Amino acid sequence: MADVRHNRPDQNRVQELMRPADQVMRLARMGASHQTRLSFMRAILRRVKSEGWQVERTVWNVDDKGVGVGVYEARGPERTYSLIAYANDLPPEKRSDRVIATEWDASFALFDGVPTEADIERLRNNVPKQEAGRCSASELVLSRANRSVRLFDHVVDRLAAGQQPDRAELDKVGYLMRTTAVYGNGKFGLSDRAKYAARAEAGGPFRVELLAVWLIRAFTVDVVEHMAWVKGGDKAVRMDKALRRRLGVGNSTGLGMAPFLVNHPALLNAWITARETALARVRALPSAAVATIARFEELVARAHAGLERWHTPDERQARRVCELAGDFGKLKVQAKTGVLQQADPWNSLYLWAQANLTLEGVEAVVSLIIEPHSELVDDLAGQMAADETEIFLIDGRMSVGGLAAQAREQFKWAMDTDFASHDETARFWYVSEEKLEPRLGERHEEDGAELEQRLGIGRDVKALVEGLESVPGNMLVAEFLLAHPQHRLAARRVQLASSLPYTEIHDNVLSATMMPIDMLRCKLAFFGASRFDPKSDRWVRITMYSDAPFPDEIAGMDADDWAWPPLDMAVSPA
Amino acid sequence: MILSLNEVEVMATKAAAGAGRPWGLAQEAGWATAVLEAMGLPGATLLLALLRVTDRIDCNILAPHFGSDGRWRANGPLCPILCGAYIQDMGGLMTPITVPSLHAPMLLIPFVQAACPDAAMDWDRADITIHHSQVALRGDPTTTMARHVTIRPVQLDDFQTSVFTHSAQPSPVDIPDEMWEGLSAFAHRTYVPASEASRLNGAGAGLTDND
Repeated sequence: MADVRHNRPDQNRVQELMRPADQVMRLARMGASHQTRLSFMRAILRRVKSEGWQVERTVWNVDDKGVGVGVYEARGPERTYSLIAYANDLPPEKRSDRVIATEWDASFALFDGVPTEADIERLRNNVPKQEAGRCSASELVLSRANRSVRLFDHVVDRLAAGQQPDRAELDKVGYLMRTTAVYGNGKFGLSDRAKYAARAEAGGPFRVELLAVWLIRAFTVDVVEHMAWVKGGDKAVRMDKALRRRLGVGNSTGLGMAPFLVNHPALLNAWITARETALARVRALPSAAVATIARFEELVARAHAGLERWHTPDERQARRVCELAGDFGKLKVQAKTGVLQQADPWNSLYLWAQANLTLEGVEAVVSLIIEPHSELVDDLAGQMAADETEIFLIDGRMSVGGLAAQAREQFKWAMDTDFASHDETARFWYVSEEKLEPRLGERHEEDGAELEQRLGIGRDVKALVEGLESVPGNMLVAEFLLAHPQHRLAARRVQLASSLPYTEIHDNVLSATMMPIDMLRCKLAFFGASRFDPKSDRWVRITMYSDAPFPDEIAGMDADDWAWPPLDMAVSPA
Repeated sequence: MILSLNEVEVMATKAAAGAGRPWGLAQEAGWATAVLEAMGLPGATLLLALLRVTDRIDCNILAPHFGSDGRWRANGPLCPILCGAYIQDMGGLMTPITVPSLHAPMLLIPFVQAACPDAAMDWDRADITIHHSQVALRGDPTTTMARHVTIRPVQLDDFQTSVFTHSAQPSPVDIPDEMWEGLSAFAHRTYVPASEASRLNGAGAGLTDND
C-alpha cells in the first residue's frame, strides 16, 4: 500500500491531471469502462465486512418442485434489511429476459427491517407479478431472475449424484440465475430514495439495489442445493466453497438503462468525478513504494489470466478482449522497465498506456493503477451520490449572450455536428405504449419520432444557441425562456455543464453510429460488473459479484480482493 | 391510490408533456406537483385541472407579458408553471407583483418557495404564507382559477412562523384514483404505439434469451 503520509499528491498537480470531459465523456471510452475499487459492489462489501454485518437465512419454505419462499436477514450495526425471495416452477416456454415477460423463475423484494408473516403474504401476491403488482414504502427494491437452465440443471444433477459441478461448465456461464430487472427509488410503489438517502449504509448510489443482488446470489446457490437434495436425497452434497465463489449473478441489461445516464446529469458527474479524482491522485504521486509495485504487478497478472473467463460470442467484443490480452502482455513488459521505480511512476505508466494501448487497455490500466491505493482513494466512494430531489435552478438573470457563450464552450462537439444530416438524426428514443419500455427507432423509416424523449441534448443545445442568436445579446435569459419555453431543458443543461464538468456525454446519441451498449457498459462498470457480453448493439449480459465472498464466509475472508480472480483459480491464457 | 413521490413526479412530468408543454417545462410541472403532494397538498388534482383547461394551448398565450411600468399583463388566465419558472429564473421577488388572472394558483407555491424563502400570496379567497419549506394556508387556496393574485416578499415575526400547517412529510402519498387516471391519460399521449418491427428491433431483442 502507498505510504500516504510521506507520499501525498500535491493538490494542484491533482487538478492538472484530471482528464478533460472531452476525453472522458466520449461514448467509445465510456463503452470501455471497467470496474474500479470505487464501484458500488466493492464499496458495499467493504462496509459489510468492516461493520461486521451478519446474514442469516431465517425462513426457507421451498417445496419439492422448488416453489416457495426464503428470507435472508442482513443485520448491520443500525438496521436490518431482509431479502424476501419467492421461488417459482416456471414452464420453459415462459422464460424470457425481456421486460415484456410476465413470469420468472424467482422474484425478490428487499424489505426495510424484518418482515412479518403478514408482509410475506402481502408480497407473495405482488412481488411475483413484478410491474403488475404493487409494493409499499416498506420495500426498497423489487427484482426478478431467470435460471441459466443449462448450468442450473448441470449443477443439480452433479450435486444430487454426490459430485461437484464441472468447473469449465461453471465458468462458461458464470451464474445460476440472471436478474432481468432490479428496481428501486419508488418504482411500483417502493420506498422513495429520500427515505433512506441519509443512512450511511444506504445513501450511496444503488447501495440497496446491489445489497439485494448480493443476497440474491446466496439464494441462487441455496435453491440449486435444495433441488439437488430433492433429487438425490442422502447422496446429495453441497457445493464446494471455492467453486461456489466463482459464481456471480447474471444480468441482462437492455436499452432501459441507457437513458438513465442522460437523465441524471448530476449523478453521472458525481460518479465520473470520483473515478477521475482517484486516477489523478494516483498519477500525482511522486514515487511508488516497493510493496505497491508488487501488488500492482500481481493484479496485472490476475487481470490477464482472468480474461480466460471473459466469454462472449459477440465478434466486436471478442476481438476487444483479445486485444486487451495483448495490451496486458505489453503492460507487464512496460512495468518491468523500471518506470515504476522512477519519479512520477504512475503518471508515466498512464501516459505510456494512453499512447500504446487500445481504449479497453487504457481504461483497464486506470482501474489497475487505482487499485493498490486504497488509503488514497477510498474516501471518494462516499462522494458519489447526488441529491436529485431538488431541481437545478436556472440563472435567468444572465444575459442571452452569456448563455450562448457558455453553450458554445461546453458543447463544442455539438456545435460541430450537423444535425440537419440524415445520419446524425438517424435514431430517436421513445417509450413504447406496450409495457412502457424504452426503445430506439429509426427516424427516417418508422413512425413516432414526434413523440421522442429528449435525450439528444447536443441537438437541443445547438437549437438553443440558434435561438439565442436571434434575439439581442443583452436580453435576460429569463425573458428569453418565457417567450421560448421549448429551450428550458437545454438552457438548464448548459448551466449545469458550466458548474459540473462531467454531466454530459460528448457524443450524439441520435447518430446512426451510436452504440447504446456503450452507455450500458459505463453504468454497469460503476456498479462493479464484469465480463460484459453484448448480445446486440442494445443489450448486454454481465455477471455481478463473481469471485466475491458469500455471506457465510465474508467474516473470515478479504472482502475486497475479488475484482480479478486469484491466480491459482484462473487458467493462464494460451 | 398510494404512490411514491417518484411515481407522482414521473407521471406529472409525462402528463404535462402529453398536454403539449415542452419537456423542460414539463419537468418543472412534475417537480412542483411532487413538492405539493409531499406537503399533503393536492398537487396532482390541480395539475390535472390545469392541463384540462390549457390542453395543447400555445405557451405564449399562457405566459405573462409586461407593460412598460413592469406590471404583469395577461390576455387570459396564466399558467402557474410558466409564471413560477419565470419567478424562479429571476431569482425571486424584489417587489410585490400582481398576476391579473391565474390558473390553479397553489401550483406557484414550490417555485416561490425555492426562489424566495419568506413570501406571501393572496387573492380574494385565500392567503398563503411561505417560510422556507413550510406553508400556512387560510381560506380556500385550492381554487382552479383566481384573479388578482398578489405575491410579495415578506418578513415574518415569530408568531407568524408558529402557525405553519404544511411541510414535507415522508412519502408515500394518496392520490384519488380518478385524478391518477386523468394524468395517466395525458401521459399516455407521450407513448409510441408498438408495431411488430419496434417490438423486435426497438429493444434490440431477436436473439434467444435462454441459455
